[in-house]
Amino acid sequence: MDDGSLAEDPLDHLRRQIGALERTRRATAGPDRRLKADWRMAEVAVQEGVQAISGVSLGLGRIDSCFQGGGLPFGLHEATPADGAAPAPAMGFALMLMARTLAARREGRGLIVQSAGAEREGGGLYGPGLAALGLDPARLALVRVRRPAEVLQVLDEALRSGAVAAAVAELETGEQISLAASQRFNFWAQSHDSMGIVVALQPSGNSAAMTRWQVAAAPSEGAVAFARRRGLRRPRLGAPGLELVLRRNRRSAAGGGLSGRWIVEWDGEDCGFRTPEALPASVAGTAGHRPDAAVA
Amino acid sequence: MRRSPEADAGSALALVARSGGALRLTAVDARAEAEGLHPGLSLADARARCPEVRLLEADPAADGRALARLAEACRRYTPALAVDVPDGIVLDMTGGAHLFGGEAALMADLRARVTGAGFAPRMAMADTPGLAWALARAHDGDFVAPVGAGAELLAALGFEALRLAPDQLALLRRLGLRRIGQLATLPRAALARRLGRTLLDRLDEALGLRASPLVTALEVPPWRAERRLMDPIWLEDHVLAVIGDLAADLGTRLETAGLGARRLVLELCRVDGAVRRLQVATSRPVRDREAVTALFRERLAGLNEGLEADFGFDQLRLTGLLLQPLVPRAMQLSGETDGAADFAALADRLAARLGPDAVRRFTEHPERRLPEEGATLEPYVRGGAGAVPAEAARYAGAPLRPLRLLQPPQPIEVLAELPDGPPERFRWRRVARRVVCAEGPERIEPEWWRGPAVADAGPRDYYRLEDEKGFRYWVFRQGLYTDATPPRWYVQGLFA
Repeated sequence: MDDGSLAEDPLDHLRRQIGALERTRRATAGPDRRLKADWRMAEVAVQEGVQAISGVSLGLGRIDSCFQGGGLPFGLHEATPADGAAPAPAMGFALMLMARTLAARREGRGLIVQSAGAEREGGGLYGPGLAALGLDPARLALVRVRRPAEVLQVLDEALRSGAVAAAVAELETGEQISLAASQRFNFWAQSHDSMGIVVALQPSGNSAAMTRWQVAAAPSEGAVAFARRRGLRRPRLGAPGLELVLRRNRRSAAGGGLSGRWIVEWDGEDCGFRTPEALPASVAGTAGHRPDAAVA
Repeated sequence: MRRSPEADAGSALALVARSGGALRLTAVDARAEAEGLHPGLSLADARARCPEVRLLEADPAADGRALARLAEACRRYTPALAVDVPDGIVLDMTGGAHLFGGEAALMADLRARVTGAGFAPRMAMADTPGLAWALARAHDGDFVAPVGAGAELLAALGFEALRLAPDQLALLRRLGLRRIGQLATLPRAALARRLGRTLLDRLDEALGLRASPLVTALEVPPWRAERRLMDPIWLEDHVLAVIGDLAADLGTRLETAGLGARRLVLELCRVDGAVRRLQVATSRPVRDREAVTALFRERLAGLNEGLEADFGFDQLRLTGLLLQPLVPRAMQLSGETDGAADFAALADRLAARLGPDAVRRFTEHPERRLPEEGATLEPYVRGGAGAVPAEAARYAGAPLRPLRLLQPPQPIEVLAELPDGPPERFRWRRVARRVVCAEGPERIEPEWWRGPAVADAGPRDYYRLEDEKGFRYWVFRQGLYTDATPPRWYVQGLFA
């Protein structure tokens, strides 16, 4: 190592280089409907001691840059609804993360665990709805357990086996994940490069989860504004909008935030998050749909 | 031969059932018999003869189940057995008695077990099922008929021993015939003419002159591995070890045949005769020792009541049902694991522990129109009727179908609406919601070809709504404004 680089921490130097590579790659790869390097697993291995960090890009540079390696790290993640809000958006967010992970790992399978009580309360998951989010229902299995405690047992088994790329567990009201369990899940998930996502109504007290998100639905403001400009009586629906608050981040990138707040839209076709303003509801197609762009 | 849990309670016991217009006794115990009661007696007569008789209602279905359970316990002696409704079990012990120390020892062992289970059996062993049937009912205690002595033994018995219909018995009595031996002096042709073929057929069957094949209760499954233990085992680890051995035995045979089992039954025979059956189902054929053991480990872990080993199991049987071809796969030299197979194994393990219906997959039924019927969940381990959905259409904008489906749809109270338009405001789960964005309608007509029950429900007009907080609902209006009753509104789905 020469003297010139001593001014900067070598690790930061490496991160910066990789970040630059990531940005150019993201810029050149259009929003192709096929899998692109952009949202293939960002297997960025930043050596930190002996542990390699890798993860899944969310498709939105603003969020990705918060994490070391430029993507949501493998491991355990928690999603909770914002205070007093309905749990549906948190579950939606978890499934979007799953869709993103499954898109990155072509052979990967997904497992969703719900207790019978949660299913009764919030409704059972619906195949065509999952497909519309970009999940392939043929690669999913849905486990319904009778006792709430079994949800975490199934999650444990799934993550430990290494047979799933992503597992989503929805906890019932009052159920929480213990510190020991979260450490175990985190370890299993990281050793198999998979995602474990726990959707709980209340945030757990103390957990080893890599990130913790608070999720609320975001009104389709773009669609409303669009309708107002055009003088339409009733706005149409935009893409699913979420207000994400990153409450905890155990893999924050240098210079990136430990926390953050974003309003994002889910693009089910490209299977990625995007900024709401980027694509008004009226735009029918993007450059990515043209055949010449698909070749690139 | 009936289970008698209250036999020691002191007074006589009888079972009654309604036959014709009257309540009649169907069975009596030894004390009741001593009091002069017998089956067929009317209830009033029985009460008159023995006022303190305790009466229970006859339950032929429960008797049948008890008999089937007893037959199952007798399977330890021979796989060829038949349940002889209403009160008998026939075991074909041809060539098998020496395994249990000879005929007398076999009978003693059988009697000890059946008596231990709370029954008072009458047993006989003879050359033919018919003869054994007759001897068992004619003699108390265990009767082993010498080979070839059938005609002699039968001659001394009454005609009841031939399982004849009551009217035939009555006719024989009228003719003055009491003992089967009396027939020997009569010409066969005349007998057949007067009394019908049944009498002679039964006689020939009992004497072995006419074939009377046993209709065995269960076919012997050929894909079975069995282990009889010198001493009973009761620890889960030991049981699992034996399961592993059985799986290896069965697996070797299955491998030779190129098969794997989609369903496996483990029978644990307890020392006291109770048989516990545990079944596991898998989503793809298995025969691997480790895989089978892992499935049963989960199955045992999922038992709420535990193993219930009591004094232990002395016999274990593993049977493969629902076999399918299983071709060995080439090992992948690249070191990559087979993701689909791993996932199927995980699903099987979870299904073994939580029950086969707990792990489900998404399926589609394109021929069904209603949303709740067009896409359903089916058990993962069963290859159900529904198609596995193909890679479906994705939407860059708002999805057309909700993430979660409320089943059944929940009624909502629409507070403001325009005719033939989406609601402006509505109340669901006691909260009023103001609609900001809406799309629709999407009309889904019922499948009128499925009959009036479906067709009369009327068409559904679906709307996708977003309220001011950004929550999205999938609501529909059922019925038309032109109908006599005003249309009703329901919420059926929630979007992300």
